[in-house]
Amino acid sequence: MATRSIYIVDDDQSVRAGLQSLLATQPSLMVFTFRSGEDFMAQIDELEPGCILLDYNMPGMNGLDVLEAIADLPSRFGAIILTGQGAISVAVRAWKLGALDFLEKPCDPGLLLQAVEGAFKIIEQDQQKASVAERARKSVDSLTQREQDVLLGLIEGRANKLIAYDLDISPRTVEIHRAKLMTKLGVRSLSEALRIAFAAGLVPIE
Amino acid sequence: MGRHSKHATGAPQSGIARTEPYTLLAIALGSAGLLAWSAGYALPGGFSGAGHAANPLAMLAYMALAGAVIGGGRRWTKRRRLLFAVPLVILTLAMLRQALDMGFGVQSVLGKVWDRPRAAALIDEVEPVSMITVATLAMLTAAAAIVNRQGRSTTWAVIGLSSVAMGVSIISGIAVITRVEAADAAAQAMLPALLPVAQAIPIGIALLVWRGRFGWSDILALGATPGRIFRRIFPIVILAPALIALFDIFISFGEVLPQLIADIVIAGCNIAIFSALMLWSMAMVSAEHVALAEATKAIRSERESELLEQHELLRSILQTVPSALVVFDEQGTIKAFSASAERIFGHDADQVIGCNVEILATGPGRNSMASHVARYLETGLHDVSDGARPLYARRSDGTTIPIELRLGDMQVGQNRIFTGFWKDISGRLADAERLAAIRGELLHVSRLSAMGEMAAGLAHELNQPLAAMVYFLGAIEHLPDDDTQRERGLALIRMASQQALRTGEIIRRMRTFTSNDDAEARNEPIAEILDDAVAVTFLDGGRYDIQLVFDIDPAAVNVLADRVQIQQVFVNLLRNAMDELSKCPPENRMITITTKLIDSETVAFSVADTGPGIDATMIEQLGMPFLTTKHGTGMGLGLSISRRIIEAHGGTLTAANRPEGGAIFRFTLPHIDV
Repeated sequence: MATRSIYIVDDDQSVRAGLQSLLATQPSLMVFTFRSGEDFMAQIDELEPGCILLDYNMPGMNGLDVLEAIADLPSRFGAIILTGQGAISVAVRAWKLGALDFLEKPCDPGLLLQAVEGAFKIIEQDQQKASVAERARKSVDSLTQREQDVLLGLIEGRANKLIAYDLDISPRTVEIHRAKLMTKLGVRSLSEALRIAFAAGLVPIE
Repeated sequence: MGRHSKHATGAPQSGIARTEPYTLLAIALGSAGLLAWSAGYALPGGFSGAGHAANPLAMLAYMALAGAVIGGGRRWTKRRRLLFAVPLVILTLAMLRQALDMGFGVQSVLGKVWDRPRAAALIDEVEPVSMITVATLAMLTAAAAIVNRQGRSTTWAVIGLSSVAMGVSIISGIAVITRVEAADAAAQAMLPALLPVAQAIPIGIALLVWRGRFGWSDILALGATPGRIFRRIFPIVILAPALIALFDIFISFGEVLPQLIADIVIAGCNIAIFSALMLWSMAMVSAEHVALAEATKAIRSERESELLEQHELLRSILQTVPSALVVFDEQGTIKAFSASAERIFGHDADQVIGCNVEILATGPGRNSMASHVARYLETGLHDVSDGARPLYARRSDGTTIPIELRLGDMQVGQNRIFTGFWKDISGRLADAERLAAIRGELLHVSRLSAMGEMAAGLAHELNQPLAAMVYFLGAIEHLPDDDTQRERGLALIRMASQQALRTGEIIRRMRTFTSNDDAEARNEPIAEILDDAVAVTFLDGGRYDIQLVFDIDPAAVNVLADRVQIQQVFVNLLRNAMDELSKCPPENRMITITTKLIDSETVAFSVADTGPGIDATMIEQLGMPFLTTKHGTGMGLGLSISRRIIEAHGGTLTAANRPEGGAIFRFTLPHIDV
């Protein structure tokens, strides 16, 4: 199992120490602590993707403020909100801002570990998804403009002749492009080529 | 003696001023007559020979007498005696001549000495001095002699002699003027000449005026009824005998009525006139007396009704006054015991009057009435209290009641009478106690309310150590199960228990702060009060935002104060400061707490912030209940309560804006040196 990073953001030193002790019992977890949201945000660019245990009630930036600030990097971090105030309004806002979980302090350490585990699963899935899409996009990017045009024609389900007509090229040339792109994408059937095109986001899924 | 000496210096002076015109007139008349006589003129007698020429010796005697009177006023001595000698010699001569009916040849001697035969002849022609003149002269001389001696006892003699001499002179003068003829020549010779009569009258007046202070001339000038009576009677008393005498003379002269009838008529007239006078004056006096008596009676009855009214008023006041009134004398014997005193003390007035006032006191020594009275006499303060404790009084059933005692005193003849007002203050004390209880309750409630305001933060703050504790314990649970991890597990347990203690400490402070123990000023260390107050204030966090600066005077160690109440003041002030600071940027949030020993008995505290400061209008009204800047969130009681607390500790709480910005609250507490 690869090393996973977890970030504790809490203003209370003893809570940080407690969480650190608890998480340290888990294998292959790298625990980092921050005493405020500001501290965390200051170092965020250098941080590996990972899970954030975010205290809601902090002076300065509170948990939701931090969530808001990292909202455009969802694939890198998954946040679990920890709070002493189990207010529904706080919980709803946290969900909307993309929190993965919402725990009341103090909570059962087992539950906390479970939540952390769950969060990492989600993060890893996201990362997997992200890597598939990335690969597809790279394959698609390696095609020439003509090959991409031909691929789009194939996605729309047109015959070779029609594609040739639209692109004002000979049907033979279309045949050659089609063979080349199949080779480049490393697929043997049209349906496989289409899956890569979709994963790369070439065509918006409605 | 005092009065006499006063008259001796004052009266003669005024007497002289008033007598001299008359005496000078007598001298002028005499010298005019003597000049005329020595020039050979016939001296005027009566109008138709009824009178006779004046004797120059008589005139000389009167002149000398007048001079003597003047001399008496001017305090001559030798000259006065000399002047007195002249009338005395002439009187003696005249009386001897009268008695022996012989001349002494004075005239001849004079004629020889002066070598003036004509004058000597004139003297020989001169009629002897008349009997009436002799008598008048004698009386006036005697009066003048007496008048020169001071003393009131002789005044009546002077007045009497002068009055009789004047009366005789006037009547005989009138007789001469009206040409009354005497029955025989001897009687005729007794009538005086006009000039001596004219001299005698002013001398008589002068003498009367001189001693007028005691005589009738001043009585006439009196005011009110006596003066009025005298003024009316006087002319009648003077005139009536003269008129009657003239009437008698007229009757006998004119032979209008037989002598016997005339005597009866005259006697009747005398009786009628004088009895009428007496009746009239009696009536006047009695009318006056009756009026006076009635007036006196009216005044007296008015006084009596006024007194009665005042007495009734006093009685009703004493009955309604809630204080007990007890009057006692210097020996402590009770003289009066009011209705309210009966009610308050439970004694019966009848039984207690005459007893010693100590039965109302709670004991000997400082609590005795004697000591209260002594203190009152010493200090003059009506309020009998040593200020430190309430006074107690003993009721008839032996129970004691708290009282307030006021004493007064008055001097009645030789005795000093004390008045004491006892006021039952048990109700007031109970009220004060209840008020104190309510006040304590209010403080408690306000602390609870402050706690309530902090509740949310407080829950968070309690959750922190609890959460940490749970995590430490969870870590132990998840530790790999082998001996190598033993040390680690123990460390985790220690950390967990530290968190449990931290939780307990927070709860202890909360409980202390919200406790409702009786307020009691104790010797409390300032540092501990401050620690706890700051801890309670920041129970709900927020401390990391705010820079807290302490400026502690090491000389001020302890204060005499109720710990929880002072904490409450600090919590109120610190929370106010926190609220204010939340309005300004985080990098500029600072609270400064200072203590300073001002003198051996006072410690000054201040809590200053760097917030926006206090509104000027708020500073004026600061500490008024329900005045709040936290619209909708605060009760506005915090500062009001803080101020009460500080004032109850004998200090003051003030607020101001610092010149560098932000508000500063200052207060003082009593310092204790240990």
